[in-house]
Amino acid sequence: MSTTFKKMAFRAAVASGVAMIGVGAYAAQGSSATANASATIVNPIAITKTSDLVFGKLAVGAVGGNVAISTANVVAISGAGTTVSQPVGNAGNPAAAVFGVTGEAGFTYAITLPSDGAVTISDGASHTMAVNGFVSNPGTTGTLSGAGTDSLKVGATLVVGNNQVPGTYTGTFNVTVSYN
Amino acid sequence: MKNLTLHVQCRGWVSLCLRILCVLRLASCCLPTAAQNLNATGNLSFGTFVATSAGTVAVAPDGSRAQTGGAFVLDQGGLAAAAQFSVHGKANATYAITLPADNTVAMSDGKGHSMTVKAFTSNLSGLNILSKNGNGQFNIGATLNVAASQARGSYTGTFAVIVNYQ
Amino acid sequence: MTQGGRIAVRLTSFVLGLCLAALEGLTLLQARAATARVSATILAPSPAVSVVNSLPPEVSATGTVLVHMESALTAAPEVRMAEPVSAAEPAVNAATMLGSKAGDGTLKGSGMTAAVTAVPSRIGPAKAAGTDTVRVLVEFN
Repeated sequence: MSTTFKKMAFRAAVASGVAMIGVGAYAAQGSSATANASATIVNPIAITKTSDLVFGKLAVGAVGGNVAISTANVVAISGAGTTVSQPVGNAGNPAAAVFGVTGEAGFTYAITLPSDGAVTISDGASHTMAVNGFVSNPGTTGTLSGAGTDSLKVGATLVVGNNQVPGTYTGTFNVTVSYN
Repeated sequence: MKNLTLHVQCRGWVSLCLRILCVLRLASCCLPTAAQNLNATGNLSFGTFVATSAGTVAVAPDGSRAQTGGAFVLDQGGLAAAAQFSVHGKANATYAITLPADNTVAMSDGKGHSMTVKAFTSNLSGLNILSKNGNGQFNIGATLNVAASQARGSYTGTFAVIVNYQ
Repeated sequence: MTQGGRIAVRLTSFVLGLCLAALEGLTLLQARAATARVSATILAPSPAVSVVNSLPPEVSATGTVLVHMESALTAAPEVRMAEPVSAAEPAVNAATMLGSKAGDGTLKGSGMTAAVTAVPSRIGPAKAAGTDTVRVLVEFN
């Protein structure tokens, strides 16, 4: 391009620029939009033990058996030819374990109980009995109340052996809860 | 003074000069002059989660969620979602977006508790070109900073996205 | 980035995506656990009861049924007597068994002798003397 043309073009460009500034109106070069963001934090789930699992007092002879405690504290003894019995009127207060669960109102949670074979109780002198068949109420899923609480009852079945050695047997078990 | 526009062939050094003036907002550029329209069509939600200690909750542009540290996401309560934007402008134009810088956006529960947002990301990559009808769409995700002992509650905030022709 | 580089990135992302999808079921949960105790007390074996004496075969007779219990006890539980439930002769309406206070209570040593008093009452015509059966239930209290 010739020098003259360049000068003309340059001046034209500057002129257009000046005109633009004067009017102050030129095409917008960017657009903006705003969006909302949200997040909700809820109470963590928690569980505490209220009372222990108690099978109470049992007598047994030559043939053992199963002693089941339901979540409603009903004791049922079973087994072919079992000689297991529980004293009437002085049974030692058999009861299902009770746990308190807290968290966000209305939320549901999953309950995990011990598997069969995971829990045994011992008299501290090498004599043991297995505790299997853990059951709970609620069963596998619970719903927290409007106050964000729930009561969880846990029963199980004690396996009493033939001629089980007399004594006081104890042990522990865990219950786990988590939000669905 | 009336608006004076001068059509100049955008070639060579003239074009370069005009572009400099354009950046300085002193000249009408030889770029598409139609304004873009940017609208938020869906809000960003980090959903519902538990905060047992410090951590993060990230929502990806595809709406999926990830957690770190003491933040545990739940599927109960409000669900997570990436923000959605639609842009309209000149057909086949190339555009770029500007997202907020890390920790410049905050969310508050209205009771004095807040959380900052970082790592804004989009599902755009490479050249972003408006359709022949001048339409475009993209999603925005981000990462929420959850402090230790972050208070329970509903948190809200806003963030801005800017779109520019390239 | 080169064309080959772009392809490599896309391929890696795809494979990683598959891996992550497979791992999706392993989301970390906020779980809590609590521990409870379990307890049970095994008493001595159930008591074995044997009748030592029988009631004399007389109407309105008062007699004593001696019950001897044997068991290898380590504890000393209480025992109680249950009401008898049998009446072989229709004339014998019911036999009232009175638990012996001297017998109730503590099992001593390897056994215990409980005195049981039964008083049959006759309400019908006289019948020939017969043998009645009185059941004694002994259990830990």
